[in-house]
Amino acid sequence: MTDYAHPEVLVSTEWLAEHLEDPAVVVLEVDWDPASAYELGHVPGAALVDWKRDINDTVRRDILSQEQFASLLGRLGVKPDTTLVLYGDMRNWFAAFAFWTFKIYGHGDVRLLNGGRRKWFEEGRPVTEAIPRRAATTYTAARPTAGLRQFLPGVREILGRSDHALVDVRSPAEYSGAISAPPEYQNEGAQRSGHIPGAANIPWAQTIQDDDTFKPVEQLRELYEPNGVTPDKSVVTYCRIGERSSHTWFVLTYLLGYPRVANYDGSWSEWGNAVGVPVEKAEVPQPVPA
Amino acid sequence: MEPGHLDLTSAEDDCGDSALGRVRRAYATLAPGQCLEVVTGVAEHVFGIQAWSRRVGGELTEESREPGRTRLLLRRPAG
Repeated sequence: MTDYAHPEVLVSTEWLAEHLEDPAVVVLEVDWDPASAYELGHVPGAALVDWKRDINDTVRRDILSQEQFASLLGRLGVKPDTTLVLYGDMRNWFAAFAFWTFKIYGHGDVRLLNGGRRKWFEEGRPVTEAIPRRAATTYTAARPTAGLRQFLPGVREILGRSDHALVDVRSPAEYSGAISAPPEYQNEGAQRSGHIPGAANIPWAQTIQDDDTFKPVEQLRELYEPNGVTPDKSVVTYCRIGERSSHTWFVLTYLLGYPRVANYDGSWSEWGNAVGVPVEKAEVPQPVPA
Repeated sequence: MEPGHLDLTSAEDDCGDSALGRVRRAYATLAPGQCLEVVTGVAEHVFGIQAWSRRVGGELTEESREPGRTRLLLRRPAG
């Protein structure tokens, strides 16, 4: 992991196994669907962060507020100098989203488990249903860090600008406009399908290897630079609700060291429903005949 | 009774329902005594299916493993 720009933000499954009893480390499983993941078994000592309930405002569409963040970390027994290790269900997307919000509110030492929950289980490491008890703290959150998050008006402003790059991390079928959301996700549907004009389609899954760990730095560079996503530009990532794009935000920011990367968490579920914004479609990729 | 079939090979490649969410939905359509065959190459899925079926009283009647692939047969109890 030493070739990455900021290797200190990744931990291996081996490292985590050796630090399960470390009082300076708090392990958090960030799940979209806790009933299918954390509640059935998790890394010993890991506390649950329910993405829908804990990382989002449950009334309006937004990430949690500064006050909600302070309350969450206090409830989890986190101090400002705690090392937080995040992992979660659904290939670490929601853990990456939580990582992004934790950075927005200024927690210093946040790390992602390389390979995530899937690799932990693949290696047959210990799991438990036991829920850890940790004394609550009084946590003070920082004001939101500017530049990590982008909103629809900001995306409109950068359309067509050569000093910016947009990365659409969704599947080719979503990017092309063939689909807007899977049928089981009716509340993530959009009135229009396609992509934001000028966006490069670099699906999130191209950043990982078969074991879900991140690709080596050279392979990651080859994904982005030939597509015009270079470190001299301000980059905006997006997907459908902002979780897959936070995974790519993590790659660009911490593994490749791009200095200006923002996640547009409104993503296609906002853009594709907005009135009057431009939309592009692309050729639907056809399977190669056998 | 012929089993339903669910291949989780590409589940969770894109943002859709979780692998176990798909199993739960397919299992919910089974009539008592009917079976669901699930194929996956992911150990996390196998663990989840085993743990979930224990919780809901499903019967895991078969489990066969070969390199990179596990086949599970879930049966909804009759009556």
